Amino acid sequence: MKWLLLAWSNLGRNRRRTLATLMLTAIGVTGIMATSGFALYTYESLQEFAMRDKGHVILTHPDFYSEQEDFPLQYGLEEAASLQRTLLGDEEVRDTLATVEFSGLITNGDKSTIFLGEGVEPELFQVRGPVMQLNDGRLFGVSEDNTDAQALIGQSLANNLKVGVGDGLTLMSTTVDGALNAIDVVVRGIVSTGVPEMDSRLVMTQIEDAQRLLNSDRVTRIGVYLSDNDDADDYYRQLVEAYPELGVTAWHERAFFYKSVRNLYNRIFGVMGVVILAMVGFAIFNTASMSVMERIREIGALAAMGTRRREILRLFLMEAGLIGGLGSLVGLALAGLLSLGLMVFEVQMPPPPGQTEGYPLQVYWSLQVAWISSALVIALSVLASGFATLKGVRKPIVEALNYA
Amino acid sequence: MSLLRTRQLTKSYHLDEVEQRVLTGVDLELVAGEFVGLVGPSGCGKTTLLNLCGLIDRPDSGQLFWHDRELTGQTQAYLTELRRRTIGFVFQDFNLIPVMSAWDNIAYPLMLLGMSGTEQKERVRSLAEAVGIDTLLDKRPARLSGGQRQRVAIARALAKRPELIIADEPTASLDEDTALTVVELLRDLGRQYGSTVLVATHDARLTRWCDRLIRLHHGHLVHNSTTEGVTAGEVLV
Ligand SMILES: Nc1ncnc2c1ncn2[C@@H]1O[C@H](COP(=O)(O)OP(=O)(O)OP(=O)(O)O)[C@@H](O)[C@H]1O
Ligand SMILES: [Mg+2]
Repeated sequence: MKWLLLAWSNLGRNRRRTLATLMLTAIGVTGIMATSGFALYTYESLQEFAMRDKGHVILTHPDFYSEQEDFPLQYGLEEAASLQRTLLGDEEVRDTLATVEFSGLITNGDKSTIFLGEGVEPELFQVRGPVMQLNDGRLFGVSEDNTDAQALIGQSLANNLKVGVGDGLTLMSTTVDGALNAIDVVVRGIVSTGVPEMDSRLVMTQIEDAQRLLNSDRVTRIGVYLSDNDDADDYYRQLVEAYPELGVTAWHERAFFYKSVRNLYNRIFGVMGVVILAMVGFAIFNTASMSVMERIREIGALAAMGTRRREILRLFLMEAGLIGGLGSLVGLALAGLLSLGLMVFEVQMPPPPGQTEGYPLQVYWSLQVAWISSALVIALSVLASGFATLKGVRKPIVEALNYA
Repeated sequence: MSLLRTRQLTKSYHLDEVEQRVLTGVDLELVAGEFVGLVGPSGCGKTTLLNLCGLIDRPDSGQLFWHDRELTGQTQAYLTELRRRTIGFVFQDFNLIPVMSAWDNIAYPLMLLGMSGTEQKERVRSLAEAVGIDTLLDKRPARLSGGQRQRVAIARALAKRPELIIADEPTASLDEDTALTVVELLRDLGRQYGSTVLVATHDARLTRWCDRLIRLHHGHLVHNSTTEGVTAGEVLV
């Protein structure tokens, strides 16, 4: 306790230097917290997005993701509706969505282009929440019975075909039997997904219309949506056991964007973290070297009075530990202010590559990262100070006492 | 009873291949409780000898006995523990710890010994009164005069009631009157606590406080007598 007090007093010897080192340490911790907090926020947003997009667990024909289909829905799921009813019996399950993926040509009579179609259930938008932006018209509603087949199409596709809400279009595709088929649809809404390639190709219809076009009652996949994101892993394992005859896929296996962003960020921010830690280490090393040199005579006097080397060394380590610890605290507080500030004053990030929409910049304040980064910074401070002071502390007493 | 005895201590310094033999064979015996002055011209090796006697330096050859126990070849850690318990230092330029109050400076050696807070308090208080700085105890060294600082240093050296106090020119940074009172304090308190004091000095007037004077000349002790009959002139040679 006395030693700690002495260490604390020693920090006051050169206040400016102590403060500068402390601030550098604090800024280092803030940097680590901010970058990792941003990464965590991004991961969670992308995870959320990926889970919403296809569901927490995806059920398909076992070969669907590994083989190429010779004809539409070759590797589709039979009896989707009864499977969905069974799944809904599990208490973790919030909802299920069956989807038919299809493609073909879309034409306004004068002009045709390729489309990528999704036949969806009308409650899709309630279940998934906002994953796309409605620019005009309406999304599919749940309890409407529409006589006409209707479609939501991407904004660029609408522009390309010069159609608006209420206009008619024709979708052409091959059926499961290899015949050419076509259905007429009315444009119900125009949407943006944020991905330009998608917006120029996307056509969403009700699932029955897609099945009619393909002449099949199979579906491509069933997305299972859980009430709690945290159940995803457990429930996935449960389904793998329960349905050995089906393809059971966890959300992250198909979340390619999430995975690549995560890989990229981990590397970028990992390198940044190492650079920040190195800077903190050198700053402490520098401060400790200076302070040990200024105090060589005093070290000599302490040693003459019978203070053990390791007690003297420990004193310097405590000083560095205090700087590291206080710096960490200040840094964590600054990082907290930063994430609060970003919640209050929204800062918009530019769109990521391949996207048209920006997103709000946010920084998570993670307790786990806080622990790890403070522990690292304190350990590093103590280590750097140890290196810097060992030589001074080891000086022969007489030499130290005569040190000019 | 012999506290510290040396036999044929030698010590040389090497500067650019040139060997300077400072101590060529010092035989010295310090008896418990005596106040011994070490004199000799500047550069004759007083500090060198004090460092050896204070166990903060090692001789090139010769032997040191502490209570007739040989110290040659003892580990650094052993000597540190010995100093921690039994040797106090008074330095020429005080060497107080600047970030500690006078009180904490005096209590520092007691803290090293793990003494309880109440006992520390008692000792610091009575010593501070004895050296006349009891009103200055909360001040840091920078706020004290030279004489006050040396009083703190003396109190610090005496606090653990050491068997031996090594004082290397404790008055060189002080004016004459202060120097006299400081040395008087050192002697009286040393006597009171039964500490042996070995003090190196240039100052002829201080030597009359000594029980015994020893003089270094050409690397060994040439004069080893009581102060009677030693004139100021002799001391300064
Ligand atoms: N670390 C050292 N390296 C080299 N030579 C040294 C060293 N310390 C002392 N000397 C030399 O040894 C001799 C004795 O030095 P010492 O300091 O013991 O003398 P002193 O009697 O204490 O002198 P003073 O009265 O001036 O304090 C001097 O000539 C000095 O130059
Ligand atoms: Mg000297």
